[in-house]
Amino acid sequence: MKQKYFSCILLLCILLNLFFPTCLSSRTSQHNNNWAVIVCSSRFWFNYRHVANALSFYHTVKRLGIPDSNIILMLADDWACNARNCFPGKIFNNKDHNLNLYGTNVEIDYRGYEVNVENFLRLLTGRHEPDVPRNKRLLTDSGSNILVYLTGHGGNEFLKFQDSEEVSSKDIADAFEQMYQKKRYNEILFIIETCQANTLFNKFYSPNIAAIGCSELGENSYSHHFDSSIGVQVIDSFTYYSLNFLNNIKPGDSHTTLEKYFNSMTPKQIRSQPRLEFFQFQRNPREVLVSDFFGSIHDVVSHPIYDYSFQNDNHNQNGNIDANGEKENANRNDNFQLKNQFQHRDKAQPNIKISNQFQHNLEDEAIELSDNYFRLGMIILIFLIFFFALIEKIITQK
Amino acid sequence: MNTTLKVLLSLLFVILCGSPIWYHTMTVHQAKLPTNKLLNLSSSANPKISIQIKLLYDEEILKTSNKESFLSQLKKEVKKYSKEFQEDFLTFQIKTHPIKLQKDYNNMDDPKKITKLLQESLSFQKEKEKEKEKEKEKENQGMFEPKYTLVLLNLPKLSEGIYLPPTGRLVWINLGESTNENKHLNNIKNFFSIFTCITNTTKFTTQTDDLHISFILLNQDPRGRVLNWEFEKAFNNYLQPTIEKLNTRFSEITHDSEMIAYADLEQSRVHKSEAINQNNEKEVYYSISKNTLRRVIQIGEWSSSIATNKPVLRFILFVPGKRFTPLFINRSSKKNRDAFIVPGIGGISINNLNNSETQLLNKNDLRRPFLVFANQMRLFLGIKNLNKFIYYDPSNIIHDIELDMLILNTLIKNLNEAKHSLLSLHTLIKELPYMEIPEEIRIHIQNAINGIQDSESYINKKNYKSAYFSSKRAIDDCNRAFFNPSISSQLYFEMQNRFAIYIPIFLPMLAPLITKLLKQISSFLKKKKKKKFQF
Repeated sequence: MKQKYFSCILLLCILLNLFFPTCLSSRTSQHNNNWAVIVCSSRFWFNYRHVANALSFYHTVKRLGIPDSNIILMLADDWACNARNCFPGKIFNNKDHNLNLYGTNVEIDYRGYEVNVENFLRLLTGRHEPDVPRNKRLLTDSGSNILVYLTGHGGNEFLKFQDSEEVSSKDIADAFEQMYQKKRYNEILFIIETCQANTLFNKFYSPNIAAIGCSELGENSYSHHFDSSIGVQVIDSFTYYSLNFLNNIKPGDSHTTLEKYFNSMTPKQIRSQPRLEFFQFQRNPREVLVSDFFGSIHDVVSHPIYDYSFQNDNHNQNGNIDANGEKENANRNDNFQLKNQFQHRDKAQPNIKISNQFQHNLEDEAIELSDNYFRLGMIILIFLIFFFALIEKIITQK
Repeated sequence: MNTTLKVLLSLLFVILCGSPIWYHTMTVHQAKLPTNKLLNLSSSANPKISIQIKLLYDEEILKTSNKESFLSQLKKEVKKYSKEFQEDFLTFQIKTHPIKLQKDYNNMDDPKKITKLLQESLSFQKEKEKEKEKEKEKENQGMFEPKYTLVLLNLPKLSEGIYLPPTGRLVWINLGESTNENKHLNNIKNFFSIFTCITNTTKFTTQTDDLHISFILLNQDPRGRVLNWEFEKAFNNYLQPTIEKLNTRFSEITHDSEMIAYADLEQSRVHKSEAINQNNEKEVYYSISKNTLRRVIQIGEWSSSIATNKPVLRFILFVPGKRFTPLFINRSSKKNRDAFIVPGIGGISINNLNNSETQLLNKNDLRRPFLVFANQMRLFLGIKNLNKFIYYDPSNIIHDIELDMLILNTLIKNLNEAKHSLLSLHTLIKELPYMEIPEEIRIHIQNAINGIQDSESYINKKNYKSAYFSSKRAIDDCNRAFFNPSISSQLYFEMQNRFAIYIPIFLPMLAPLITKLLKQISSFLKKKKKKKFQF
């Protein structure tokens, strides 16, 4: 008997662990626009994989909704038109050559020698010369979530630019702090793919920054595979496995967390130790979604309309529009919206109608509704467990 | 001896010539910043703004079950409101006064006439001309005084509610024919909510209040129907007066219009339903969910032709194609809506055309969409929609009281941001001791400090318009100083780097001299030892 009670309690605990996180999740971030800064800091032909990394992330964020006007792409060299490129004008991230990353729809904002430490820091801090055009500026505000992706060669607390200069972790940390002081971001996701990448966010001290690095101090970041037709490595392991995960995310995804993305890559796969770190993050880190940074799905707020014109006969206490005053010119909106004498009737059969309605509702307010269903199911299940345990007790006593 | 002298002289020569060169080339010009003033200002509190409200009532007209108890309760409530509605920087002084209205208002039903009569009878008449002149002077000087008058009336022919005249700071509440005192008190309490009408939830911009509005006519399916619209007429009629008012007193708002075609909706996402309309006829309508909208609307891509450095607000009039008309947004299956906002981007109004052959949207057709845009503009400026208020001028969608509150809120916000920026800049400059500080930065910082001080003194003199524009200038100067391109740590070197630069020049010169000198010293010491032994 005791064992049965114990097993009931155990079952209850398991159910609570399963359902409570979803029930209590509040997935909303306070951002209202997304930006991405994607930087490939290496030059020379043999660093081909770095540009493939950068362009892979570029296409991913574009697919998930961030427009070109909100992406700053910095490529330090021109591999597509390099004399050594057997596929002129094309860049591939896989030996199968399925996808040309350098298609017709790539907007590069900083190219060649424009990609340097000074310009990178000016971009982050907003300290441009007056003649810098709009497309080269990071026009963020306090509602902007920013994805910063850097790939290239690096070391202990530094990242190399153009094989001639370096940006240190302190420089980047200071730049983020200045952005924080001027309220130029809501949250930042900082992804770095270099050797000893994790050291580059050792010095961060501003709030609301999440950082992902692919290798620890003393570790290298490795490429994934070699393409014999091009003659170089075409992609790094971290990016390769990132794409494996991100390609399964659809625009508008509101379930996949950053933690899940990070956990999809194991040290064995990428052959180095990745790290995910949150710096004074105001939200629960477990609730941070991939789409908070990789996508740009705008929050949509519907609102009532108030007519501020006074019409003596037709005036409604609430101030809502009454169409009688301008009946002749009223458009259909008024007829449908205000009279509210609908009798909704779907063409489909009743049972299909219910499922259609469910599907429509689910699409409409999926998170909140599913959370409510889970909670209700959990309560019913708990009740049933105790009910049956009680009945069993009564029966055994008899 | 001669060798020693030569070495010493050479060393002296290098040091005497090299030191000034090193010093002059390594010295960084740093303009002297008013650090003390800056720090004092950053830590000082903002002055408080006092709002005065006169609550007037005519005892003979007032309809309550018990006048005395109502009036005493009113006085108590008024004291409560002055504490309840207090913001950090606003204080309320509310006084109640009995008056005698000479005219009979019972048969009136025209709010404009009522307002005019009230203004005449409320001791405005005697000093009316003087007041007008004073007001003109004040307006020209930029002063507006946050003094408001609220009059309680019982008018049977008009609806109950709070009436806001198109301009001015006189408001009256029609308590109607009801004698319910709690209802009256509730109405009066609603009036005070206008002073908390500013919110930051969907505030469009935090950096500047100057913006550019782009009006876009988005024709989903132009096949067979090319749409046009009488934008200028509609804008001049419905929005121009308000925007002009904003431009003279608050911000600089520019606008343009555009027509775009072919923004297609995915058919699978559009939900088809039937409904019975007023005439008991079946009618098909279409709806899309909020989630679909979020995926469909990529507003950033729709208006790439805008070329401005100001923040852009986009108001889009979306006309669905014939196959998806009428189209609504299904919010929660209880009410269908046809307008929504995207915080930080703009707003959309869906316009379902009655006649599928319509090609021109005239001024009347555009009345409702522009009303929607007006509502959305209010939300973006941070002004809450107050549904218990009655405005009786449709072209005046932002009332003077709301604009006053907006200006005062923005003024205090600007002062706080300016002070915070100056402090951040000071901290940043301290961290880069070898950074050159050009005169330009010093001038901007000085101007910002002056702007803040001017703004605070104007607040004390109750010249709020000038205070507001001073605060705008202050924050502009702060931003120019903070975002000055010369503030970049990559351009300046730490002390160790300075030595590193000059070592390749001086070391080859000094190394042989120093070694020679050391050799001379050691030979001198050896000679001295030998002499001692000899002795």
